[in-house]
Amino acid sequence: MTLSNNCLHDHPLARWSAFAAIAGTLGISPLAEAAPVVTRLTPPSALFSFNDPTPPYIARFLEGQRFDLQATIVPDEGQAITQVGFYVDGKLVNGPVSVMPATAFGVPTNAVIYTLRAYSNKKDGVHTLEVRLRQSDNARVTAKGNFEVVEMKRGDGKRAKNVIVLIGDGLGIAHRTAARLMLRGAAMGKANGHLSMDKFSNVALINTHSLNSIVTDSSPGSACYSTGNKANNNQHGVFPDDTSANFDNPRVESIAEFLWRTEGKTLGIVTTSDVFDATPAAWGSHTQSRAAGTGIIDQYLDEMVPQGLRVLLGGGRKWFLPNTEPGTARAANSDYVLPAELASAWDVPTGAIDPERDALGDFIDAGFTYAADRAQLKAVSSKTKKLLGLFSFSNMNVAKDKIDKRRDPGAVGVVDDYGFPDQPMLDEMTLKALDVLDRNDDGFVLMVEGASIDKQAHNMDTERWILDTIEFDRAIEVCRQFAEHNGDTLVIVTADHECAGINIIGGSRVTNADLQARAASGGGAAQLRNPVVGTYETAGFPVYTIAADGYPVTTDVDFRMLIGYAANADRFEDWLTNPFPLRDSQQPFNNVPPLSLYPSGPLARDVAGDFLITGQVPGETAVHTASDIPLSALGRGASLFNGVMDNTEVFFRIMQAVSDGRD
Amino acid sequence: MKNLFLLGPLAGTILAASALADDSHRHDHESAGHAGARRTQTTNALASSAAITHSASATNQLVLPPLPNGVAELKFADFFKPIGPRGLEYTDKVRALAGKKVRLLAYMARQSEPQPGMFLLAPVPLRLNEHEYGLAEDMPATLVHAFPTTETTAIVPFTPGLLLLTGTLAIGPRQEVDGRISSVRLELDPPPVAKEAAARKFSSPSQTENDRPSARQHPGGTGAVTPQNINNSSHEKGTSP
Repeated sequence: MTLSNNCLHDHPLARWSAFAAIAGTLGISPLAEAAPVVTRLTPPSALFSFNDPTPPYIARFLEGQRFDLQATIVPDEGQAITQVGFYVDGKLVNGPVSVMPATAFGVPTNAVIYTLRAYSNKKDGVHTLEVRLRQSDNARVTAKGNFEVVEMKRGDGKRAKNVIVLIGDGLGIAHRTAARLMLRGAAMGKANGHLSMDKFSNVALINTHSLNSIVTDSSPGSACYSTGNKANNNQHGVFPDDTSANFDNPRVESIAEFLWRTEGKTLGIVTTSDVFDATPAAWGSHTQSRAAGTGIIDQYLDEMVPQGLRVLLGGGRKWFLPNTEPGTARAANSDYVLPAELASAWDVPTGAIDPERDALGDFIDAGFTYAADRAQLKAVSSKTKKLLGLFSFSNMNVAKDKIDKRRDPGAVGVVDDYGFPDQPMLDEMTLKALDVLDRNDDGFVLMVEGASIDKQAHNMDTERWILDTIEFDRAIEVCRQFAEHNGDTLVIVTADHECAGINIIGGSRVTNADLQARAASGGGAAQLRNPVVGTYETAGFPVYTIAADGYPVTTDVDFRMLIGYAANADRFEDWLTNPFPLRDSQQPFNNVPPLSLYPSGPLARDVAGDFLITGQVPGETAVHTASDIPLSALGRGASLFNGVMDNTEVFFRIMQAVSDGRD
Repeated sequence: MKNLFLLGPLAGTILAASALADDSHRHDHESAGHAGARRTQTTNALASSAAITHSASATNQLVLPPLPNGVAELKFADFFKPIGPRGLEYTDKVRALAGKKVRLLAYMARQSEPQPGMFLLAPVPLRLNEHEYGLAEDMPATLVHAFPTTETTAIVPFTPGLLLLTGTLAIGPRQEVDGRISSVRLELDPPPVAKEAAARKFSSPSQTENDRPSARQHPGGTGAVTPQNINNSSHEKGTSP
């Protein structure tokens, strides 16, 4: 028997333990006789999967935070399940229990899924969850799991009104150091200055593992902050299930939904990526497929706008165009419709498979002011209460390419090639988002993502991810200054995971001119490694000159900083700034010349030097790593963030700051 | 090198562009994990491609055979106007060519889940990982859905390298069986027999006898001719475009 590929409970030990737990409950030997089997009990728990009742508790919730209870049951052949009940701490949970077939690949065809939606518990502490069932032959089985309701302790009586979470996608410690070295420099053993994120009062280290892997992707990596719970890779806002449908999974109420419902706080989502991408989507949608773009966009509109979504800025216009317009990405099979019982229990629309929908028009009809470029964003009225900005078809261009265009507006640059020459920088988007969100007297939750730090780290495009980190830091500074003027604001800077195993390996021992010559020589490691890579004291202190716009005049300086990648794919390296970004497969125009002349992968770049660095990972891009990532906190409740903690714990510390233990 | 060797006839057949222009060599050898010999070859090809400036069109530099009568040349850059505040708009040129015979130089997209009776064309080598990303990834608006008219039930095997195809152009968003929404489609002309293809072999002035690729009938029965360049051993199944 095999369950879905990404199921924690798939591990043979887990299933055996689960069976043993069931058998133990029945007081029988596991092999004594056949019985219906509970193959999954949601929310996930170590008690169910490993028969381990001890901490850490996998699923944790706020007092009153809603989540779904679900069990997958495989009856014996020829038998049917006649009765199912969910019990918490031995008491039957009242509410309708829905039934649906298990349709996921590999699940036994007679498996049945029972769900009780939108459950919540206001009693702090660890609770047992049981599903008790009876089969048509009168065989009875109980499976047991647990979850924790986290106590919100009383503090100093001061509550955080506003919460800003800035996620540098893929931002590890070395990304920060590299950005600081480029932006501020160092001399005689000390940094010459600080990043904005360096100025935050509190720092913690965060574990980033997902529900089904030590190495997370952005979906659970972001959803841990928005829900307080683990998710499988590629999934956010939900627990895994045994159906193939993308939008029927057991849900967890998000921070935005909870704080809209309980306190009237609004939500802003700002990103340099396509707005359907996993990190932003984890703050405004619930799906087991991060790729289901049509449904994610529609959930923003159908569910989150009525629940306080007031700002949505980024790329991804392709999802907002009806499928009757060329360039649309809207398709029926990435759209969403909810089971009626789910929609009813969570009090949200059922949605519809409507790829013909004009989501852009619907946002405008819902009262949103729409900005298509930086000029329009800048012109947005200060009285605007709802703001939508879609500045590219998919991911926005990276900071370097946007800055290059601003410095030389008359030249044809990368942003022109992509068809969007006037894209805002992340700090400009953040500033406008704060203007709009601050109009709500009840406060707001704002997620700001520096998305291409990760995307360019995947590409091992050193200068582009460093400049995107600088762009991200400028957005952080906007939020830091906002918090200075609004003392009831908590600002968190962190990441969803580290990307590429990045570190600063040293400094170049040669001038830029020398490096250029070596890069053209075809001399391989003899030219580009041995005489170039300065380690320890020969690394020196690289110096970059910063222009008035806040970015380096050039990244091709003499004796530059050198970056290594521990999670790298094969690549040619010449240490020089790459003139063009790697082709972005999500860009609709990426196939139109001159874009077709961009290198399409790290092996199609920097090849003249013939210095091939063999990677440890397959494929063409570097990968995420499992290392801890840093978190910086500032403002109201920042003192709650210290030490080493799980990423889901960040959610509860934020809510501690917001609630201060009050009901 | 700006050579283009065409094995198939112009009408509706997948044609080989084996000893390709510099940029197409670059794209043909871009993936990781090559054998050492291939890596050396890649390096040389890529080194030569570095001279191309990004403002020049790669495919414009290729020497193509004369257009057949009644067939218009179509380029990917011809598809859409500059982007406005909403979506894409077809150019007058592509609107005028809708329903007519056109020729397109393109790469065949490598798909993790190809569909019978169709394949996808792009101006650059493209790998589509539908298995992992579904339809939310790798869906360029300039992607062309190509439909072989003689084979509607078999999966067309992936063919690396530049392809020169003729067929009837269709435009307008349309839901396809692969779940995508096509904006530009090419109904390929029926393929000729291999003998005719060989007779119409095209070579550039700099082509040598040893450079010429051999032809073989497509094993999938589509009638398409799959290129095999004897000097380009990297064009093997299992290697990346």
